[in-house]
Amino acid sequence: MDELSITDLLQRARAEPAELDRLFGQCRNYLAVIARAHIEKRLQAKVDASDLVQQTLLEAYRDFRNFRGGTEAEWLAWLKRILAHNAANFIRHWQTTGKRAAKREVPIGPGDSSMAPRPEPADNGESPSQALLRKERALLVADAVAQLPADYQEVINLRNLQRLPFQDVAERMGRSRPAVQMLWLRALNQLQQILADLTNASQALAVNRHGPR
Amino acid sequence: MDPADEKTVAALDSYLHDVQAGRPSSREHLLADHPELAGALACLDDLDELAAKDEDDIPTIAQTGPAAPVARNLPILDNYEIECELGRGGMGIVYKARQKDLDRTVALKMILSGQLATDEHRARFRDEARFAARLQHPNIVSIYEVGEILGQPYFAMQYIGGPSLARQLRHGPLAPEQAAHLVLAVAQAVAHLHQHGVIHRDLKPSNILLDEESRPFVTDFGLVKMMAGDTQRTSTGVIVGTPSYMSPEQAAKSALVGPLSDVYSLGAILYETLTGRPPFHEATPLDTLVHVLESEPAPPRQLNHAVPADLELICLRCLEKDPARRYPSAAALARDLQRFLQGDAIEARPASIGQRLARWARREPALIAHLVTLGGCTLIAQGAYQLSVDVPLDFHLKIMGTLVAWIACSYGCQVLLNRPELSERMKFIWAWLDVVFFSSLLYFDDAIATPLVIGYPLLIAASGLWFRDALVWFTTIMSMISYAVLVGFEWHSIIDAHKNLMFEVSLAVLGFVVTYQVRRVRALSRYYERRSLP
Repeated sequence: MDELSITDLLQRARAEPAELDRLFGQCRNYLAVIARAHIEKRLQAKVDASDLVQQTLLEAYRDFRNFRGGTEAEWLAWLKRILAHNAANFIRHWQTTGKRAAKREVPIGPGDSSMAPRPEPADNGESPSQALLRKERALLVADAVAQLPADYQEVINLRNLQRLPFQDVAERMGRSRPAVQMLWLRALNQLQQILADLTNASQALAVNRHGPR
Repeated sequence: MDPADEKTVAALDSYLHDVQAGRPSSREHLLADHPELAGALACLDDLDELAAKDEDDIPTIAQTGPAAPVARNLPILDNYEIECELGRGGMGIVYKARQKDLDRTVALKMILSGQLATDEHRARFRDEARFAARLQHPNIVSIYEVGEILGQPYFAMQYIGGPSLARQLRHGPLAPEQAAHLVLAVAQAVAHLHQHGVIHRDLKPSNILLDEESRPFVTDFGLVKMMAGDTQRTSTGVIVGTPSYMSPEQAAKSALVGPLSDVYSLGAILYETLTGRPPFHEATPLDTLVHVLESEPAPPRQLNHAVPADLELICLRCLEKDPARRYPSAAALARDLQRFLQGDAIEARPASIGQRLARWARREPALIAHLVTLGGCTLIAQGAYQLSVDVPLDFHLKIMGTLVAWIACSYGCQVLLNRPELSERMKFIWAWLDVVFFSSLLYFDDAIATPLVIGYPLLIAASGLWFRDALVWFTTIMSMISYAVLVGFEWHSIIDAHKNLMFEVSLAVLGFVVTYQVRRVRALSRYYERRSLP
C-alpha cells in the first residue's frame, strides 16, 4: 500500500526526487503554522507568512542533498533551521523598510490566506487516503489547525501559539474578552474533533499496514 | 457565556498558563475534578509544542528584535545574564542564561533558600556538587560551576536545547529499537555515575533531557542524596515525587537504596519508552505506591505488540521487586541492551514457572485470593462428601455448582477489572457477586447458624484492601441485607432474634472500623501527595 511515514518518505525522496514534492506537501501546514506564530509574536502584528514558507520550502528543496538525517524529528529540526534563517531576514527587512513597505509587498488583512490549505503541487492526482501519512504528532496538529475556520485559527494562534493572555488576544481581535474566550472554547472543541478524525485515519492506515494484531 | 462554559474556560486557561510558564502542571488535579477535559488538555499540550516560546529553537528571531523583556526579581549574578526561566521544581528554579566571559549558553539552577537550612548543610551541598561537577560523560549534563549568591547556592550546567524525555513521551511510545538505544545511553551514563559512587535516586523521564539529535542527557543526579541529610526537608516540602519510577525499596524508605534502585528506575523508563506509560500509574500516589510495593506491571508486550520478547525480558528483569534478581549493575544492563541491539543472545532469562506464578499472584491478587479460598472450600466440601454417607447427591451438586460458578465469575470479574475504564465499577460488581454467591451457599447449606457466617465479616474486611470507603460501605450494607434475608427464611423464634440483631450491629461496626482505617490511610496519602515534586 501507499501508506508511509515521514522516515519512509525521506528514504524514497533520496532515491526518487519526484517523491520530494510529496514530502514537502506534508510539511507545508506545519511550517505555515510555526512561521506565522513566530513572526507575528516577534512583530506584534498580523503578517502574511506564506511567502516565508514558500521561500523555506524552495531552499529546502534546493539543499535537500545536504540533509543527512533520517528521522522525522531531524527532518523537522532541519526545516525549522532554514525557516529561522529566512525569518530573521524577513524580520530585518520588515523592520528596516517599515511596516508600510512590508504591507505593500505582502497582502495583509481579512483576505489573508497564509494558513488556509492550498492546492499543493504534491497532490498530483493521489486519492485523499493515499495522502495520509503516519505523521508525527506536530504535523497532524498543524494540519488540524489549518482546517479550522479563519477566526478559530486566529484565536488559537494568539492564545496558544503566540502565548498571549486573553486580554491581549481580545485587543488584537477587536472583540470583548468573553467573546474571545467563547471563540477559543469552540475552536478547541472543533480542533479536538478534527484531530481525532485525523488520528483515526492515520491509525487505521497503520493497522492496515502492519496487519491486525 | 453560560457559567459552565465560563468555568471550563477558566480551568483550561489556568492549565495553559501553567504549561506556558513551564510550571509543573495541575493536570492530575484538574482531571480528577473534570475527567471530560482530558481531550482538551491533550490538545493544549499538542498546540504548545508548536508555540513560539521565548527560549525557542528559532534563535535568530530573538536576536534580531529588541532583547526579550526579562522578568523582574531575577537574582543578579555578575557573570551571567539571565534570559528566561526554563522551569521550576521542588528544589529550585532553572533559568536559561548567558555566561558572559565564555560567551556560552548555560542552564542556571538556583536552589531554593529554604532547602539548605544550616551552614553545615550548605557546606555539604557544595562539596557534593563539586564532586558531581568532576563527572564527565557524553550522556550526562555537565556541571560547569557551583557557587553561592547572597547565601543562595546555584549551579551552572550545560544547556540542552531539546525537550525532556517526559515531554517527548507525551506523544506516545518510541520504536523499540530507538527505546533500546536511548535507555542504553542512559544506562551507560548511570553506570558512570555509579563508578564514581554517585547514586542518582531520582531517575525519571523528566530528568532525562534530549538534545536536537535526540541524544539523552541525565541531569539532577545525586541532588536528592545531597538533600537527604536535611532534616528540615519534610517541613519544607522536598520529598521525592511521583512513585511511578521509584524502586520498591525506595518507596518503602528502606535503608537498602543503592545502585540497584537506579537499575529499577532505568527499567521503569524503558517500560515507559516502550509502552507510553510508566509501569505503575494509578489515580493517586497512594494507589501507585501500593502497586509499586505489591503488584506486578503488565508485561510490555501486552500493551504494545511491537515490543520484541527479549526487550520485554530485559525490562522486567530491571523491575524485579527483589534487588538481587535485577541486573547486578547498570553496566550489566547496558551490556545486555547492547547484546539485544546487536542481535546476540541476551543474558536475561525467561521467568521460571514458579516466578511466573508469583508474578501472576502479585498482578492479580484479588483473583488469586478467590481461587485459593474457593478452591480450598471446594476440596473440603468434596472430602466431606466422600467421607459421609448421608449427603444426597443433588445437594452436593448444588453446593459444588455454586462454588464453581463463583470461581468462574471471579475470573470474569478480574478480566473486566483489568480494563481501566471498567475497573472502578467492576470492584463494586465483584463485591456484590461475592455477597450473592456466599449468601446462596449459606442458603443451600442451611448454614446461617453455623461458623460459616464468618464469611460476611471476611468480605467486609477484604473490601478495605481496595482503599475505597464507598466500597466498604457497599459491601457492609449488602452483607447486612443478605444476612437479614437469610434469617427471615429461617425464622425460628423471637428468642434468638436479638442475637441476629447483634450480628447485624457487629457487621455495621466492622464496616465503620474498616472505613475509618481506609480514611486514615487516604489522609496520609493526601499529605504525601501535597509534598510531591513535579
